[in-house]
Amino acid sequence: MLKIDKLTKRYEDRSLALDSVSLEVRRGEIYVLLGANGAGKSTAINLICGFIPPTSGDIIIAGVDAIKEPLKTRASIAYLSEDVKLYEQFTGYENLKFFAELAGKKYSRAELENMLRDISLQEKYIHKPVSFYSKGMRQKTGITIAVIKDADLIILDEPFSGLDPKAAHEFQNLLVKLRDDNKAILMSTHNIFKAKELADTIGIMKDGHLVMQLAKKEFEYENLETIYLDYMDGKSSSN
Amino acid sequence: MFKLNLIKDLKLMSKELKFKMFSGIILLLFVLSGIASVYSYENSMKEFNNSYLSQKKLDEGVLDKADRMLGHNVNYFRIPSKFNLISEKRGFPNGLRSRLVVDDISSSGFDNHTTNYFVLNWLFIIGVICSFSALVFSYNALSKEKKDGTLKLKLVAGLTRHNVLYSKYIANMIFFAITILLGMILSILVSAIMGFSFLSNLTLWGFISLIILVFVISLVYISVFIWTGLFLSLLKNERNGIILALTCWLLIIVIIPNLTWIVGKGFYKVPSNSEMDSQASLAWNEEFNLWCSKYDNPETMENKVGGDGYLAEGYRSGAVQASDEKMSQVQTEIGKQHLAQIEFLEKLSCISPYSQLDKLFQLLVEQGLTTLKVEMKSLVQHRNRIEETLKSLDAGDEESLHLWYSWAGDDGSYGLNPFTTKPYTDKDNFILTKHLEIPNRDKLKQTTPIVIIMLLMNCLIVIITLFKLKRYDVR
Repeated sequence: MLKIDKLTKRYEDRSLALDSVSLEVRRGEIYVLLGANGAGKSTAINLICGFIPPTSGDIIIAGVDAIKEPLKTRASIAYLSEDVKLYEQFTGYENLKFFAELAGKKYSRAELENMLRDISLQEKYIHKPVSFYSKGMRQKTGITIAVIKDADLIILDEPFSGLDPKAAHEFQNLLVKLRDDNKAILMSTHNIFKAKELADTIGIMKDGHLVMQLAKKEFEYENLETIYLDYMDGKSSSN
Repeated sequence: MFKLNLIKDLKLMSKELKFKMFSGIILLLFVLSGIASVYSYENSMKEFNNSYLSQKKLDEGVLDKADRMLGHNVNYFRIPSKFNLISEKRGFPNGLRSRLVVDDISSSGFDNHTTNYFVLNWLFIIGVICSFSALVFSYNALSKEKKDGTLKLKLVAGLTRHNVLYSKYIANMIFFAITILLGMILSILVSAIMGFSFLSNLTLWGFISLIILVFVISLVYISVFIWTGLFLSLLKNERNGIILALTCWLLIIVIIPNLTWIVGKGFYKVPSNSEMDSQASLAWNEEFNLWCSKYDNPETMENKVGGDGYLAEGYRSGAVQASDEKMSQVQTEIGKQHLAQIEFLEKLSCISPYSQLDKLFQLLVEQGLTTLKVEMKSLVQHRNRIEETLKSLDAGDEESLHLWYSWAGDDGSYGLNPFTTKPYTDKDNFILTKHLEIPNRDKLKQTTPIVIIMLLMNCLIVIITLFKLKRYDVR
């Protein structure tokens, strides 16, 4: 579903944010990019979503060159960032309705309200302006916005940020369901435990490089935290 | 998709406090401008009438003096100096239509026939308040979407960054179009309810087309500020955006117009009013003394020119006539320099969109320098017509002394004043009640070059903004 090849990003100040990263996310797979802050996870996601142009490399989404035809490939992407605040003057319902319509999806009022209920948004908040929402509530609404598009590739940048344990658990279940629905999911996080629980493949990033890729069988029975920390401390060699 | 986003932007604007607040303020100011214009107009009318009555009283005094001296019953009429029609008009031009419909040609001074009555005027509301609002609305249009994470959501949904920007622009323009149009209608309605007629010499269609012109030009003007705000919204730091927005506004509205005026005056120097007065008076005295030296005999005290002179022989009137002519030449020459200076300064200050709007409003409401020129032409023609009429009346009057005499200096006025024995029957004609209207078609012609400059300014900011947008980091 998503294939990136030797993707490189060098900013105008000559700093190298991403260096020749290649990876593939298949349908029915959750690929987790793991790394410390500044490792290049968000840069990779920004490049894939077309928010910034790459310096070199290829991005292929659903067989289409995302660099040459960004608008065409965006139809296949759903995205959620770490700190989405949404339109504060709009209610959660209005935000959801707007982005659903933007995605070309028609839902009834009841359906949209139910979607918000499904993510445990309290009834009284559904028609309240988002400015009254907590960070977690906004994040939940943002997740619904990402899911409502029914895209084949879901890209999530630190999606667990701000979620309470219950909401995080519900969201985790939702991601598993989406994977079972044959969606391809690319997610960045620095939460090793969530990565281990969810990922089919983990890509560890450091200083703009994808330094290690582990398939589920390679980390399932291992202590991922030890592998990760050892690698970050330079005790392990590249995969 | 674009339409959907535009509707969303409009809905969002309708919910935001700053939009509600500013639209309320703008509408209120328009209503107040309507009320203020009526009161101001009424006051101006009172002032005008008072001034007219005192002028009449002064004239009656002059007539008494003439009667005593000449032993004749005479009719008297003062003709204003051309120079009195030249006056520097600065500051906010007033309102939609800014003239009293009655002109007293016998009064001296430009202010008497272009009394300002829009105290709280449309130029102030649109030029100052709306431009400020436009910057406040748009300076964070994109940076806020970026900060709130909605920009990325929109881009992933398939909107381009250009779509997002254009939608913001159109939404802002729609907001101002509705607010300004509603404001104008309210202002007119309030004035009309209070019994004020905007029509003057205009037809209803002429009035409506004038309103449309003012409206369209206002939108072109506001567009400059919206684009400037959108450009600022592409800056990395949102806080810098508001500071730069305020700086831009101050530059355009206050600093550039005034600075160009001050600097321009330094470059383009003209004699001051007091210098002009002394030069004019010198010219008058020189000529008068020349006549005195020719016809007066200081030894025998037989003065044909000086003192009261020999009125019947016409030396004194001849001397005054020639002296007035000399003085008028000096005044006209310096007046031309003043006029040229104002033209120069106006052109110079037109680098600011606010000054452009100022000039456009002056053209549309027939005020300021352009109108002054038209008025001058009209009034001089009127003056000449009256002079010709009086002369022909005087020529046909067998009992007339055929004297044209000036009591120069007695009442601060200068000029030739005809005396006839027959009453002037058509004195109402002396009061110019009809203005020389500039047809809207001509107004359109005059305003077009400035509107084009304004549009070019829009284009320039659009190009810079789009260039910046291309490199805009949406992360």
